[in-house]
Amino acid sequence: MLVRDIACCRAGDKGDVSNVVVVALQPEHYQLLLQRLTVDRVREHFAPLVKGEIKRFEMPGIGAVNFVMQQALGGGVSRSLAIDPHGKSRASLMATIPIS
Amino acid sequence: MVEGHTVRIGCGSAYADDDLELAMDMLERGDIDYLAMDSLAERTLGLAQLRRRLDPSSGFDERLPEIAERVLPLALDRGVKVIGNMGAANPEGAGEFVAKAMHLHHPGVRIAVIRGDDVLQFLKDEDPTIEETGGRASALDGEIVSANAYLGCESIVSALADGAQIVIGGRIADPSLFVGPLAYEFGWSVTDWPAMGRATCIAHLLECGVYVTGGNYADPPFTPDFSLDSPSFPLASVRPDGSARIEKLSATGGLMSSMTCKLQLGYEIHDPRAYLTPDVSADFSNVGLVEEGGGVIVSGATGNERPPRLKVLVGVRQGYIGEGQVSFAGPGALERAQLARATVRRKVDRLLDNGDISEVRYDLLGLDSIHGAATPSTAPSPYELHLRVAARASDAKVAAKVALAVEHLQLFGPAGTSGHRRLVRPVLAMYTTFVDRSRVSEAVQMLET
Repeated sequence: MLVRDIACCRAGDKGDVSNVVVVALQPEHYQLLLQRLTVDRVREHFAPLVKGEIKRFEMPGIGAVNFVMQQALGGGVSRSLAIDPHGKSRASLMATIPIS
Repeated sequence: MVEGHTVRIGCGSAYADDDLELAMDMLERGDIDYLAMDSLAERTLGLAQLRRRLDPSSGFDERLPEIAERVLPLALDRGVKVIGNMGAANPEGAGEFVAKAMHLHHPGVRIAVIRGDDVLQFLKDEDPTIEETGGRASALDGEIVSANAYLGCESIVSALADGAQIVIGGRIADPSLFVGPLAYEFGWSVTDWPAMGRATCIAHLLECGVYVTGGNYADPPFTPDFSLDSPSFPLASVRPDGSARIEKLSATGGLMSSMTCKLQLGYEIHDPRAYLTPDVSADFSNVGLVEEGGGVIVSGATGNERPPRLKVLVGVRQGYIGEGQVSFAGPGALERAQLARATVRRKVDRLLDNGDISEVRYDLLGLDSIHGAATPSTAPSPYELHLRVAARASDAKVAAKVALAVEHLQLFGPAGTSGHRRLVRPVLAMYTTFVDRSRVSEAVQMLET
């Protein structure tokens, strides 16, 4: 089972900081995300793309976890050489993380 | 300000190239009181400053002629007030342009121009520390061309209180364009932090336009089936207690659901307990989003005291990016693309070694260009591929040289190398600093058409 099977993801950017919010489809999926989608797991998956710290914030009101990644966008939209300078496709990368 | 009344506010734009037809539809059918139009992404204002240097009468949203000709007249006819940051690098010029353009058919309309976001002089005088580098602004590599502070809702409130029907500013923060009219209508004090937090939550859901009405969401078969034709901007029907119903227009495509709202609530936020804007430190941690009769009810946001300083984006000219691309198809496309990549790499890496370029990347579009080394190794060998090389150089000629090196693969590269493209573009890099509120002289100037 992948993140994609139990949640929807959306990625955003502010400068060189990327955030990916992962919203559970059902309340029980939120508990799974809390247990399995840890900072370590995400760091392992995103390692080649993120130079800085990764933090996870919990949003119990909507059943979501938000990952905030520093130094993650090649200097940010304005400087990046990447084909996806906003990193919006990072949501799809998050979706490929195995949950079980 | 009638006790218990509802205020309807719609989104009319979420960036500088957004579709004005959606704003027209919102005015025609949204039954709204206010239309908030955001024109500015992080780079937009710096680019506008560069345009203004070439022509001092320009520097505002390039859609302004069409906005003045179509959007604003319809808004006035419908009794809708319009708030926007379409002034970009030249709010005064934008106000004068609109006043002149509308004088003939709509005389006597009050247009408020909000100034004060341009803090380039402060930056030069004070030389503050830059967030990303930890060094002083003067130590940034490249010419500083713009410095704009994010302004909050206060001037919008006073402009509306003074009878403005159209409010035009520069770098007013996106959510503040919505928070201002709500604070004015409901008489919320701009230091009532819970109220500012509730208003900012509504604003955050609306400010990215179609992102909350089904954009950036469809992922078949994992998401509900809905049409991506005929999108709608969102609107909110706001109650005096600060709860609201988020809606989209009827007979449009897209989707309004609790999930589209949840994804938007989490978009571009960091700590959900402290979403920082010029108006408030908003707390979204206990927000509830519940579907009701085709809309979504939002409640539960609150807020704490606003940050003491304003965020400033600094635009710096930083050389050029040169980019070249060639394509491969058919049997062995992957092997030939890899051969081409290795070949051009040996050539371009020499420019890196001697310092002519400072950064370069070699991507195979269709294989690993987007997620790089993080790409899961499950993909089959593709039938077609594109090699893309992008490099950063301080000299435009060097950037062009890199782009040309890729194109030359079409002559002396693997079989079937084709479809070359190349591009050299100047870089306007954005950096962050902060300014004390007391150093920003925000002012409202009233014009009449």
